[in-house]
Amino acid sequence: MSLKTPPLRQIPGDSVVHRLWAGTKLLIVLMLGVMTWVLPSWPALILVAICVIVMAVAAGIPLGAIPRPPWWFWVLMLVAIGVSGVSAGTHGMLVALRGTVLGLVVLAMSILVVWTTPMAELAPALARLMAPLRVLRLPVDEWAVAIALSLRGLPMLMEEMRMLRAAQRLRPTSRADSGHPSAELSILDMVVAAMSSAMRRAAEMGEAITARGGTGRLTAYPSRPGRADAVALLLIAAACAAAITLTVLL
Amino acid sequence: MLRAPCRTTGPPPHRQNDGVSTHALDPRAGTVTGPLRPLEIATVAILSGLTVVSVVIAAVIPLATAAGLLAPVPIALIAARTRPRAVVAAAVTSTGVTFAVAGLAPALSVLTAAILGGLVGEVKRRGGGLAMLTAVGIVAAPVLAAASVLVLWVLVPLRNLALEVLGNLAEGIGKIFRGVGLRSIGDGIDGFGRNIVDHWWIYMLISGAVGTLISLYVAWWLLVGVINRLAHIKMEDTLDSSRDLTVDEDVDPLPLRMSGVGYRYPNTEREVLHGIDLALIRGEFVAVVGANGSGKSTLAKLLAGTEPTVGVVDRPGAPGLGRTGGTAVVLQRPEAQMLGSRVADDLVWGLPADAEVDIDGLLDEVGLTGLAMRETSDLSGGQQQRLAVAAALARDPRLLIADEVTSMVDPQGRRDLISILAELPRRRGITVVLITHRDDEARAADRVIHLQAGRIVEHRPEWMRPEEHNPQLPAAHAGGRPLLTVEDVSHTYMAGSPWEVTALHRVNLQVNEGDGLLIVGGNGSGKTTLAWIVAGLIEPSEGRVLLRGEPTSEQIGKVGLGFQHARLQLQKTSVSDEIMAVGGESVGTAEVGHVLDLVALPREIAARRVDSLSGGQMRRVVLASLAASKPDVLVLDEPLAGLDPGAREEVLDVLAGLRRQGITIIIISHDLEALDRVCNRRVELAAGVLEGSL
Repeated sequence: MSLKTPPLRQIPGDSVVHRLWAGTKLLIVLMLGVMTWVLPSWPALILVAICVIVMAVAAGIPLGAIPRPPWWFWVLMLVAIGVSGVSAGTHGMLVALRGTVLGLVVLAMSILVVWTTPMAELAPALARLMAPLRVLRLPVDEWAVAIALSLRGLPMLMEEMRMLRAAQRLRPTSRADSGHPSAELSILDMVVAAMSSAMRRAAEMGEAITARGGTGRLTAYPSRPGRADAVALLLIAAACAAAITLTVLL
Repeated sequence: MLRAPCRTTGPPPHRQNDGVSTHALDPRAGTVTGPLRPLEIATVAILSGLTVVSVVIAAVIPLATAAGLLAPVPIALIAARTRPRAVVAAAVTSTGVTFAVAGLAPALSVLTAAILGGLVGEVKRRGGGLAMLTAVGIVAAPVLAAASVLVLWVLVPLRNLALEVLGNLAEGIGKIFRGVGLRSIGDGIDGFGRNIVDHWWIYMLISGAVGTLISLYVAWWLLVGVINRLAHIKMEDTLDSSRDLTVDEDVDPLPLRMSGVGYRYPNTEREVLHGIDLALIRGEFVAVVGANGSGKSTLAKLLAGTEPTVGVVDRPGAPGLGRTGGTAVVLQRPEAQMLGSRVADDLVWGLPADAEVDIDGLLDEVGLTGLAMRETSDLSGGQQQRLAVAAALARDPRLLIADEVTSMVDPQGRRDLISILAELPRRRGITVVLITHRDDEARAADRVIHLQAGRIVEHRPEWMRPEEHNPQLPAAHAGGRPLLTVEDVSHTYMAGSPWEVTALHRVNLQVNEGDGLLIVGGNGSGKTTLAWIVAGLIEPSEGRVLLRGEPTSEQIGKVGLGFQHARLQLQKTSVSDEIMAVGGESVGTAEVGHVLDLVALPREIAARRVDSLSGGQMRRVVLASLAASKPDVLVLDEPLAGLDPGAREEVLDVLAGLRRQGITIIIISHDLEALDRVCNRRVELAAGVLEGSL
């Protein structure tokens, strides 16, 4: 409903980015994420930013989709940069800016994945990426089922949190010293309500799984990596190498 | 509780039903081995989701950083109530989901929360107390803190960047203080900042360890509160026969013969069913009818494979619940059965990887042609139930049990569903058992099994007539004074984005004192948005809602709102605390008794725990608490959703009673049939446009 955050839902479309295997996109997020951590230099950040922009343009993401942060976000950012400017001049401002951009581009990359991938493909892709763990006899398939069901339940949980908050807002407030139930601290109440509702939901889901004879397939149209995925990963790897070289040279 | 004993070779295994209060924290609960059971997987999935949500909320909303402290609690609950295998699965799930939706850094903080939750829950499961927790914390906190120090120690450029930003900030703030003449404070901040930069690892180690310890104690405090208050929630999978999921068996549920069958739920005295003799052959359509509590649903479970306590159930092979050629069950709640994200995914969900399924053919058969790529959450209740039937048919079952599948579906959806089920015996040779409380549905069947107090009795159709409810309503208040006006309200969610949805379009409405207004609208008509706007919780994009001339958004609470989901609205432990908390300071024990009378609940219920109530009782407690808050207008969003037939009648009577008291009520629902009886006006909301208003 009235989500202020970008919804965890695909933007319908059929582009190169949409057609990439979900696992490839997750790997790209991982690679770029690790790179910005290992090497938070300007060339690396600009590279990640370029990747984000190229992917967004290729996927046909409309400008309107970009989340508009609230005003205090810009204020905080400007204050941080301004204070750094007071102490270390332009250099300080650039450093502060670099720290902020670092956080933003990596997050933007993740949001792009959600926007271009059907929810149903994320869990099987994660399962395939975790496949090597099978050698250690770890229950990867079990995890994939839990991840799929968890992703499926996430929008409902967000909605429930919103309802909990609204129910809270509708209640009257009383003087703290009145000893009346309406004056008590309500964090535990809200946690219990959320948990109670979640447990009921889990019990129903458990019966639904049993009625289907246990777990098995997760998706109707299994997708697997193809040539485009190899190309995309190679491109990203090459770009990372370029960024590292540039950082060392400059 | 989440426990099911291992398969035994002796008498048929019976699941522990009471596990909740006594066995919930029993370390022996860990005796379940092997793959996770369906209920465990579901619990891991949903509770991990809660962890993800709290971390994401903490990351997105700066004032809600404290929400991060809640993140370990769901995982701690899993650890306290299940086995380590489920905790590991929960850690992987929450981390994996967070990585997929928010990236690497949030995923790492979720992983930390999961480890903390696992530790706290494990201490609880082993029956440890604060001493044990402290011991664990003293070891774990420095280790976890050291891990993040180690990461930053390796990532030199990242560390330099972070420290440079921090150092600059401290120096800058110091300079500003000195600039306005506060030299000593400025020097202090500056020096402290430089100190941190020079000895970053000491600061990080100490603050990390202290933070971890605090998180552990907070999680412990919450977990203890949560466990005590949730001890009464029964969590069991009543269909799971604790069969060894890894062993294949010969499946052949029909023909089935029951003789002298009785059933008593574990640890209860009363036999829910006794002396049941019946036979099912291939290709018949049988209805099972009876009042609430007559044992209908228990019989459905026995047919689906639960072992009876007395008597014999004879089948050629295993019941094979959910197996190809076995037994399929369609359950009551539509949205709870949707396991896949898209329609086609849900259809094949749980099938063996090599099963061939004609997705389009099956969707055609249940009237969902062309909807394969739609999100399951966008379907109406009736469509969801038809999808559940299609998923059952994908398993080519011999026996299909439909347990009250129409009770939460609108009249049109009900007719569609019954006609689909009635076709199956002829077209596919499937035996269909329809459990229902409706006479017209039973009439479609070849024969009717009538249950009364756990026994099969002779079927008399006239017995099933629903009791007549004719709530005495006041004649329409023709001249009631105007109370609430909705003026030209339009609302658009996420305007300008690709998800832009216009939920309401120029809605005008006037509600007079004493009115009972029914707003009819289906899924996606904007009805919930309208309810929230009327209650003042959402500011409409255009227009305004005035209550006695003042906008409702400036007097939240004056308009009472009853949500579709009653449990989320009940936030206190006991019924009386709940009613007092919603009613406000002026509500005492006497008023609690009064409003309980109003909703026809016994006064003794005031002392009961909210979680021990049935769905219908919860709904009535919500109504009681709203009545106690003396709202000017009461808005109820789908007050009958999710209720079984008996509970629906109870709530309808309560609504009629409230109307008689002169309370102004706006009911928003798709269920015009039932609710028309308690309202004096009706308008329809379709695609955000109100028809027949004013």
